[in-house]
Amino acid sequence: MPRPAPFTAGIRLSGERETALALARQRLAAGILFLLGLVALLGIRLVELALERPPPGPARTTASPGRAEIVDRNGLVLASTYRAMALGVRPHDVVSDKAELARAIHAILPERPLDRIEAALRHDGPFRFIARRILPEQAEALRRLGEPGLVIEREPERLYPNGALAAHLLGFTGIDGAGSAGIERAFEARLADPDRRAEPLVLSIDARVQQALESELAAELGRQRAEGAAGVVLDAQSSEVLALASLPAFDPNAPGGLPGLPQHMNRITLGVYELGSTFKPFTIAMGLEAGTIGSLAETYPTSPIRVGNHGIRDLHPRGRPLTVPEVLIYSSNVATARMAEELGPARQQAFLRKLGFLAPVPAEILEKGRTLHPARANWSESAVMTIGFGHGIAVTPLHLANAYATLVNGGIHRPATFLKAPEGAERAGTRVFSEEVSALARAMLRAAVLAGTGRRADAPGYRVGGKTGTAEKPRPGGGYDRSRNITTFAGAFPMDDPRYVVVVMLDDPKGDPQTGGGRTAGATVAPVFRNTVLRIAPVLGVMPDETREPDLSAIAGLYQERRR
Amino acid sequence: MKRRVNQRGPALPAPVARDASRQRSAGLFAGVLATLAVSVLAYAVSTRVAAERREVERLARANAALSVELLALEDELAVRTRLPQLQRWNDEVLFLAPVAAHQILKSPAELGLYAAAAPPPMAVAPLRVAQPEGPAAAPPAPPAPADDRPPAAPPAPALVLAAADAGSLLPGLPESLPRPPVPAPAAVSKP
Repeated sequence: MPRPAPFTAGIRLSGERETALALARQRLAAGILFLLGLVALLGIRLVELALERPPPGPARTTASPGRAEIVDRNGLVLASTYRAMALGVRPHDVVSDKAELARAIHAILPERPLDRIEAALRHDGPFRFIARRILPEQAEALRRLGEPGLVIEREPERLYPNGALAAHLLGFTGIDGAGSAGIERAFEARLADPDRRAEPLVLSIDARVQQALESELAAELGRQRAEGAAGVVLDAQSSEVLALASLPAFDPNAPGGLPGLPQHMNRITLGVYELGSTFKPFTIAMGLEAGTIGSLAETYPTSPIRVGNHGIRDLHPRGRPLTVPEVLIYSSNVATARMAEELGPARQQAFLRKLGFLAPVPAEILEKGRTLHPARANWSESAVMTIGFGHGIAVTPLHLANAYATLVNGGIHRPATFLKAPEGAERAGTRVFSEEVSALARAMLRAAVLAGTGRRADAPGYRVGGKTGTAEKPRPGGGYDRSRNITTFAGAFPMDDPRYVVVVMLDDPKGDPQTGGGRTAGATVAPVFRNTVLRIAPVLGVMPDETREPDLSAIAGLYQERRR
Repeated sequence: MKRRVNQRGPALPAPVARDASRQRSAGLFAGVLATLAVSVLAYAVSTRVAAERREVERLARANAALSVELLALEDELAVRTRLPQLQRWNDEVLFLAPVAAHQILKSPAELGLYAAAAPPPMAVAPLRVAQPEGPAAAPPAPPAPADDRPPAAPPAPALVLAAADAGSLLPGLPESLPRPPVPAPAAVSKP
C-alpha cells in the first residue's frame, strides 16, 4: 500500500519560519518607508504650494480694452476703444417668418436697408452680421423680439470722440479691428501689443491747435469755394507736428468704403504740389550760405529772360533792378532764377537734399508722397532756374513746413515727427544754414509780411514772418491751367525767436467777392494764416506784444518800408 | 495587572481607585475637547479666510464692472465735449474771440493807466445810494382844492435813489487825465 505523500506544504521548519518572518518584516518596513516617502513628498509639495506666489488674478479685474488709446500731447483722448454691440444671425436657427422678422428688425434699425436685413436672414451659412455698432436700447429691443436665431455680440470698437478732427493723421480701423490708415496703420503692432495696451500712444498733436487750424481752413474753404485745403503747424525747434489738417475730411468713426476715397487723401503728407514763390527764401538763403550772393545790397535785374523754350517773367514787374530783400518782398521770379543760376545745379541739389526735398517725408505714417523733381542727369540749367522760384519741383506741405523750420530756427534740420518728443531732450539734427543766414532770412521774411505780398497775414503783436506762393495748377494733359491756382502761405512766429511754423494751402480758390475776389495767396490764404495764428498763439503760450519787433537793422534801407 | 497589584500590596481604598480612573477619563475627555476645539477653530479660521477671499473677489469684480462703466462714461463725456461741438457752440452762441495783443497788460503801471483812461463801467454809471427822504424834499403838493376838505397828509418818508457823480469820488486823479463823461442821473420812478 503506497504511503500517502507526506503533506509538506503547510509545514515549516523552525529556521525556515524565522526566515519568512524576517522577510515579511523587511517587506513591511519597505512598504512603510515607501508610504512615508509618499507622505513626505506630498508634504513638500504642500509647503511649496504654500510658499509659492499666488497666481495672477483673472484678466477680468482690468478693464483693459483691446487696443491702446491714442492721446494728444496734453493727454486728450483722440482714439479709444469701447465695447460696442453688434447684431448677428444664425440663419438656420431662425424659427419665425423671415420676412416678418426682417420688418421687425428694420423697425428697430431704420438706418439699415430692409433688403440687406432680409438677405442676411436668408444667408446660407452658419452666421452673418446684420448690423454693427448698435445702441444699447436697440440691442434691448432686439433681444425682446425673442428670436433664438438672433445673436447680440459684444465686440471692441474704435471710437474717435472728436469725429473728423485730425482724421487723416489718426486714420481708422477696418472691420477686423486692425488699422487701415494713418497712425492706426503705422503703429498697428504697438497699439495691438497686449503688454503695452494700458499705456496710451502719445502724439505730438495739440488738439486745440488742430481744431483752430481746421475750423479756420474750413471757413475759408467755404468762402473761396475751393476744392480742398490743407494746413500744418510745426514746432520750429523740435519739428514736432502740432496740427495737420486736410480738407475735405472724413469721419473715422464711419470712414465709408475702402481706403482710397478722395477725402481719405492726406494732402499734407501724400499730396505733392508745386508750391511756387514759397521756395524763394530757400534760394536766397542758399545763395547767401554758398557765397554766390555777396551782400544783401547786390541788385538783380528783373527784365524777362528766356531759357530754352521757357520764358521767365515777373507777375508784377517793378521795372528796375531789385536788392535781395526786395526780391523776396516783391517776389521776383526773374531775380530768383538768376540767383539759382549763379548757385548751379550741384549746390542746389545738395541743399535740397539736406532740406529733405528729394526724399519722402521721414515722418512715421505710411501715407507719404514721393516728391517730383528732375532726374539727376536731367537737372538742366532751366530746371535750376525754375526750381529757384518753386516751379518744376513738387513737394508735400509738410516738406515745406519742415524746411521753413530749418530756415528760421538757426539753420538746423530736424525731421518732422508725429510723436511727442520727451521734455527737455533736444532732437538730433543736421546743420543746413549758418546762424547768420538764418537771422537774415528771418528779417527778410518779416519784411515780406510788413511790406510785401503777405500783408494780410500779419497778426498784430505776434511778429509774423512768411512768404506767399501762388502756383498755377497743372492740367491733366500737360501744361498749366492759368485759371486755377494753388495758393500757399508759409510762415513762422514770433520772428524774433521763432517757435512755430504754420503752412496753409488752398487748392483752386475761386475768390471771395466780399474781399475783392482776389485769387492770389495774399488774398486767399494769408488771412487764414493770420486768423490761425491769432487763435493758436495764446493757447501755445506765445505772448503778443505790439511794442516789439524783430531786429531788421541788417536789411534797413534796402527796401521801401511801408507806413503802418 | 490590577489584580496582581491588589494581590501584592494592601488594596487601595475604593474612592482613590475611582478617582484615578476618573482622572484618566477626564484627561481623555479634555484631549478630545481640545482636539475638537482646535479643529473647530481651524475650521472657523478657514471658513473666515474663504469668506474674506470671496469678498475680495466680489470687490474685484465690482471694481472691474465699475471701471468698465467709468470708461464708457469717459467716452461719452469725450464725445459730448468734442472740440468740433465746442466750436459750433462758440460759432452760434458764445461768439468768443481770441485775446488780442492790446488786451494783455505787462505791468501794474499799464494797468493803472488803462483804468484811468477808460474807467470801468461801474465807475461811469451813476452811483446810486439809498437814503431816506424827508418831507422837505417831497414833491410839491398839488394845489389845494377849492372845497374845505382837510389838506392831504404829507407823504410818508420813502426810500429814493439819489445819484452821485462818480468823478467826485475819485479825488486822487490829476486834472489832466480825461474825466469820464457823467451821464445825467437816471430818472427814478416811484410806483
